[in-house]
Amino acid sequence: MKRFLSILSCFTLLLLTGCWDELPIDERGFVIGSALDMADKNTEGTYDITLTSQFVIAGNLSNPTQDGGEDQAAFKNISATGQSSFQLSREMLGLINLIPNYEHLKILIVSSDIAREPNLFSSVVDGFIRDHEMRRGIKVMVSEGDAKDVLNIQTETEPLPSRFIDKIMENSVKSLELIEPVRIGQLHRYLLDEDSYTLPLLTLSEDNVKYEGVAVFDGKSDHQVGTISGDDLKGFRLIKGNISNGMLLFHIDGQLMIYEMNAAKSSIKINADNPDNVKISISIDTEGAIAEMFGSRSLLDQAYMDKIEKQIAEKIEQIVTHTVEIAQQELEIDFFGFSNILREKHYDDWKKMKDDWDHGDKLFTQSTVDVSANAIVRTIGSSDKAKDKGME
Amino acid sequence: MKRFEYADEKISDKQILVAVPSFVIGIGILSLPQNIASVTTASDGWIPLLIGGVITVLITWSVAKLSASFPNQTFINYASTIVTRPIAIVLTLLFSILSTSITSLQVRQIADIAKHYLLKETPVEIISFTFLLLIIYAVAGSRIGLFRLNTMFLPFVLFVAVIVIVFNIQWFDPAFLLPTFETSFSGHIEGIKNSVLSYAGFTILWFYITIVKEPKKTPKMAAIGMCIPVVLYIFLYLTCILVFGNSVTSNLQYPTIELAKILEIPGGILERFESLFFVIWIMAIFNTTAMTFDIAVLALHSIFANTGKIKLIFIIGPIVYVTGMYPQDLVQVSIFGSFIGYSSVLYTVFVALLLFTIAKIRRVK
Repeated sequence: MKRFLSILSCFTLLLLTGCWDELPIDERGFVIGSALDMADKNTEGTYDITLTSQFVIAGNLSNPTQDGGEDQAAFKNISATGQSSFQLSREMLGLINLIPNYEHLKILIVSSDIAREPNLFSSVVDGFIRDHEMRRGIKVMVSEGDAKDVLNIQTETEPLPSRFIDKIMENSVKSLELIEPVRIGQLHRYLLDEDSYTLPLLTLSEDNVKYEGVAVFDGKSDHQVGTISGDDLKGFRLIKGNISNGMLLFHIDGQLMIYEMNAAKSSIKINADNPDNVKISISIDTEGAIAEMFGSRSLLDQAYMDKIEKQIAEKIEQIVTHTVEIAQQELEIDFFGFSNILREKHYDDWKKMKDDWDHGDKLFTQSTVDVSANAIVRTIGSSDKAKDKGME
Repeated sequence: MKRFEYADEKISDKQILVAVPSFVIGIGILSLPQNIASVTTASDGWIPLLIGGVITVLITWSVAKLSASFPNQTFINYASTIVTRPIAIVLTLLFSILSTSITSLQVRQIADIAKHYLLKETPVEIISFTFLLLIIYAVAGSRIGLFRLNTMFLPFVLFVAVIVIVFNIQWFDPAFLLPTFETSFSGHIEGIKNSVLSYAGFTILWFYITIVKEPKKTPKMAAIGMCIPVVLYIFLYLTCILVFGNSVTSNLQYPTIELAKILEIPGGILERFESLFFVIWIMAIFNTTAMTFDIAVLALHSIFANTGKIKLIFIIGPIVYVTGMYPQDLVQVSIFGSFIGYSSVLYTVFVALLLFTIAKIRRVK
């Protein structure tokens, strides 16, 4: 009996090795970037979507060819077309000898053809939110033109296009004309809350990619309604506040001057007593330095300094007001998150008007937005002026 | 081969303090933030969690008090003195059945989660089978050994939970806490119900207090032990809300696992923290399951004193496995789960009230 039991337990070991999930690492294909493009719009209202996945070829990544031989690409892009992104990722099994693994996926680029189609965007990203392999830190962006071309760009500084874009997204915090990366976890929340939101917008030129501007999405109908860039985007960032770096061009006495912001905070107060005329007041406080000036007037002059600060504040007010005008009149979408503030601080009023905020009666477009700014110039740099006499 | 036996089959009341949280912390917390967030507004969920916690601590304390007033007597013994032996046998048998079903539920749930996140290709049947074998191995040994495992594992479990909270601070957004106090009354009730169900862990007190050497301070220790999961759950819930916001939390299957997934230790030392989290959390679930299985055996053993413990284990084992494999999909598992949850809370309250009232009426000391 004892012997029988011990033999039996030895045989059980065979069953318990857990080899079902065995997959050697060199048979896995690590995908670090994905792109979604519109392939075809079928007549019965369904869509064909092309999923492009960027596989890393690890060998070519670590050993760059040094003997002048032909450069081996460190990545391979595979595209498949079908109706769902999950089905496509399975279809890729037939296109490459590696098993796709999405655990290291860093970026997801959606072409604006998909983004502009109502009620499609959330469906195509659903698979990326649902799959347990995907992490909630994937950065999502929109591309003007074909998204799969973005994954093909050639750069000298970085062998992997996906990682190149990932880095650009990280660095964008330094500029006032770009927004912080949007992660898929955040996007999930925007979609659930039906908030309007913005995503980084990539533009392809020649074989280089440029990140300038953002795509504005309507939360309810779930599609891209427009883009904003340049000064308007600055205004957007200033309203959102929480800026640690950025610069502002302004003129004083006809001379160009550049103000470098080190910190900007915004505080938004909303008075929602009258739903037909919600009063939103935004006050922005910035701190910074003079980074560059044309002309030769000394800055070590209190009166002149006050004038500069006033000028900066006016410039900020002007930029922000223009951004709000675009949102209220052109796009008719609240992508500043005022609705969040209403929900958080004025829950009772919000419950009454949540269906009519940027839809239905469009109360947002009727609201009064009041902007005030305050700028402080802390330092003027290491030199007072570069030239003694200007051409006065 | 001779098994090492401990000097006596007795535990100290500090070990009860450890056993209660070890028993409660398990699978429940992985999905609890979702249950709570879906019935409350913004961050209001802490209120039902706290009220539910207070209720649970009170029940824990009274069960422990009742049990400790009959020092060194088994449940069936003092229940017999209070409500006569036939009724006591029925009560004990029901406890055994309840514990058996809890064990099978745990075995099934751990297999489902492990399959979803870790072992995609491995059949659920095999994962649960291996886990059950491990449980059987633990229960077949000395009971004191289980308590020592508790004491050994609990610090790790608490430590990993604290890491999950601390390293998520960088993602906190205080705006998610607003608006406060907007949840409806029925939402609060629903929340309290969910939280009490997830705290439910009184069953062990009926049976384990009898082996405490000096049960004088045990009620206090059990109540303190119960406070640990209450505090932990509130913090984990708030972390989920602060990181994900209410709407996302109420749409995630296992928000606590997602918390572990987004966590990155700065410097890129550990990019996939969830693997570590799983290892430690499975230890916690192992403790819970081993104790429920042990209670099923212990309860049955007190009725059939002549049958050997090992024999009982091998009778209960297959029942646990078959019951655990019976539900076909996620929905059936969760129906089974809430049924078990309700019956375990209601049954404990019922037994406590029954014994307490009859003991008062018949003046049993």
